[in-house]
Amino acid sequence: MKRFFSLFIVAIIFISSLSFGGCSPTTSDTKVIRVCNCEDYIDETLFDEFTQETGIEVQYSTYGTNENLYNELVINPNSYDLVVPSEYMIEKLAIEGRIQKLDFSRLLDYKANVSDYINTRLENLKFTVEKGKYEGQQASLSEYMVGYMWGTMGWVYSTDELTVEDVNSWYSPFENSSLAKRITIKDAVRDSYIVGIAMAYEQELKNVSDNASITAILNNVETEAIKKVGEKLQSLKPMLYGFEVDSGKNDIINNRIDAYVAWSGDAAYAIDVACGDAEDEDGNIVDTIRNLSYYIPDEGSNIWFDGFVMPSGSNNYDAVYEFLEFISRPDSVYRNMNYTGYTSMVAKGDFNTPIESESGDTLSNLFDAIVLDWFDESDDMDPETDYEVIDLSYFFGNDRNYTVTVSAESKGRLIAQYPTLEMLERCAIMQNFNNEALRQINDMWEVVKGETFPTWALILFAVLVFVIGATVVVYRNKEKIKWHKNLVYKKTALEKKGYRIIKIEEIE
Amino acid sequence: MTKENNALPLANGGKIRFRIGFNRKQLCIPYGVFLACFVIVPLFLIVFYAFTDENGAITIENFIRFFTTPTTLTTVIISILIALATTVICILLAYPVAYILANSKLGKGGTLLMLFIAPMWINFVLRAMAMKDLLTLIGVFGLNNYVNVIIGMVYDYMPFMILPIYSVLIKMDKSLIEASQDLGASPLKTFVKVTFPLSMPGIASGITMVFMPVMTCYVISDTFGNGLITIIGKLIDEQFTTFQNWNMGSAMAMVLLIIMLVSMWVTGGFKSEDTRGTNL
Repeated sequence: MKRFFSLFIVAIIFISSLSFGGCSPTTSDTKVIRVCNCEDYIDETLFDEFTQETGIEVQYSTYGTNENLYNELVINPNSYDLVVPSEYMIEKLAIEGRIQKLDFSRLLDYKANVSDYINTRLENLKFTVEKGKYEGQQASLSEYMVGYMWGTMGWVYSTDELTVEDVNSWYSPFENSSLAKRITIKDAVRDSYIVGIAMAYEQELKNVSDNASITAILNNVETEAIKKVGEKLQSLKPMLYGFEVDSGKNDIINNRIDAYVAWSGDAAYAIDVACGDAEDEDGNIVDTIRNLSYYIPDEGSNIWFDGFVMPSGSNNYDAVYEFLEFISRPDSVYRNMNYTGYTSMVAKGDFNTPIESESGDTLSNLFDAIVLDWFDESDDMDPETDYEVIDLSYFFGNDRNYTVTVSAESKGRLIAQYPTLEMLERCAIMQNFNNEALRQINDMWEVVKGETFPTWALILFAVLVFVIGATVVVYRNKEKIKWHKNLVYKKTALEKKGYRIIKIEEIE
Repeated sequence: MTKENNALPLANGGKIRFRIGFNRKQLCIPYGVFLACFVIVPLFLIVFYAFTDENGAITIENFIRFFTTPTTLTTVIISILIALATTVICILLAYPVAYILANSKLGKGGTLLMLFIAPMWINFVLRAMAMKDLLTLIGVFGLNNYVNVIIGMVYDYMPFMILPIYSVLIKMDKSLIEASQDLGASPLKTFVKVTFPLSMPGIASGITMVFMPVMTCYVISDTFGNGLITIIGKLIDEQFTTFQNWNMGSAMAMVLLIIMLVSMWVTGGFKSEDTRGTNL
């Protein structure tokens, strides 16, 4: 008993040292910042430069999904100084008082450089805080986050087989019999829910044109809507190649599918690799494998944002604000965009060190370096091709001309990074599902993902269980069975000889 | 004190030259602590979550929901069927391999065995993806998702079946086979009456090492089934991550635990006392 007790004490000491010693709070003067981000979502060489510049060391870690990050923050609110969740998770964290508001008077460069359009969208997303320091207050997303990347969701499709008309709505690829088993959708309930609801309420969506109404329809989580979405998603299954979260880009490049629901950054990556603009590991330009393009269906889609937020347990303010200003500088933004393929929320400002393009031009800001240098085709127009002038001033500002001329072929690649204003106005932010809705959506999703069970399988299963159970029982009792058989054999032998058996007794 | 005096005599019969300041029981403390922290405490947490709702009130609602939802039950049955098929195919393929390995000269040195075990050293997600591309190349992939998943599972768990059977076969007393041959049994009869029954413990531990992991290994079912096949491991994962319902997830984990205990009862029937060392 005494030994058990001491073991217990040792266990308690061990556990407590784990929970307190392992995550000792970092005070401001230790000059360390703990950042947690999605995998492969930042150019990590920037950290060294940040350390050189400020003397603050970056402790970098990654998380798998928003929900995993949430679990970590629930268990220890001071596990990180900065985390990068998506907008719905930021909303959930803010409502539950798990993150703190940022002081934007210390983020002047970010405020000056962030795209006004995107920031307004974030300001418009309002909610009431339920717990913590700001309990009962109205707040908006923009008070909590420093924007990182943003994007949309749409169809990536092969232009060798399909045209824009084939993917101009969420449902139209499913009406095309040549696409049977050649489509994938997301194996993530939030993303598939928005696809399902856009299909189920296609007509209602087409009748409205303002963003508020579209957002309301796409965020409908009433019982009836959930039921409709479930039915709709289930009806897609015979046409589906499968559900995926990150194999879709490889599947479409390798010609296993012709269309898939993609996040815009993945779309840009897939198009680059398949169309041969990307470099392989040795730095060679890869040959064109397939011609892919990206389109955001007309009835509307999802717009998402990822941003830096500060967990309520952290008080490492100086390091946090220095890091946020550093990471939002156009120079860092350019490198992160090059690295990840996603689009930053930072739009304005000049580079500290201008970049030289391949043709020798000096590029001094993000629009020149990313949009004009990559996409603009006004210099070498081919008279036989159609060109389109796309105005991106809604995103970059009104201080100069922000238009770009692209051919119809490369328009898909541009809108994967910079959609037109018209498209964005039809994109809604998906809000956080409340608990009741989440439970119903859970049930719906289980039914969608689950298999309907054929009778033969049930019979087979029962037979198998019986056979295995019987085998085990027989095997376990085989000695007894042998003994019994022997006895019966002897008994009949004796009876044949004319003996009459009165009593059988077991003798030790 | 008496225990320490009874320590095993050294081979040279001399005195113990140095003493480590622990007795045997104390040497178990590190593992005891490990066991308490990472096995027993989490197990209690699972039981706690399984029988409570989100507000912490005691309830069996989770289990009722689990056993009254047709899709979850179907998922459990599908998982069991996939696991059974994988286990049977693994036994059929692994037994001859293990037999050959145990009886060849190269196999005794472990060289051949290494060749069979080597794929295990490569990250298994990577292996799964490579296998998928390979199957596409051959043209087998995409015919039937269940077949794909079972191919993937068999591919991934084969070494776990080969090893225990091999280690039983290689330790087997060859004089028993000679005796059987001396007494006039044909090679087939020798195998059926001597070799096979003696290798049962290896098969049994192979089954425990293949059957249970397959039911939860949703990386394979996602990669090879294109996300169209859900097994119980995936359901549990979704409860913990996507739906934030730890209680339901724990209840499912407990059901899985019960299935595991049943499967151990089943395989336990084939084990004899000399199963030591057959587990990995």
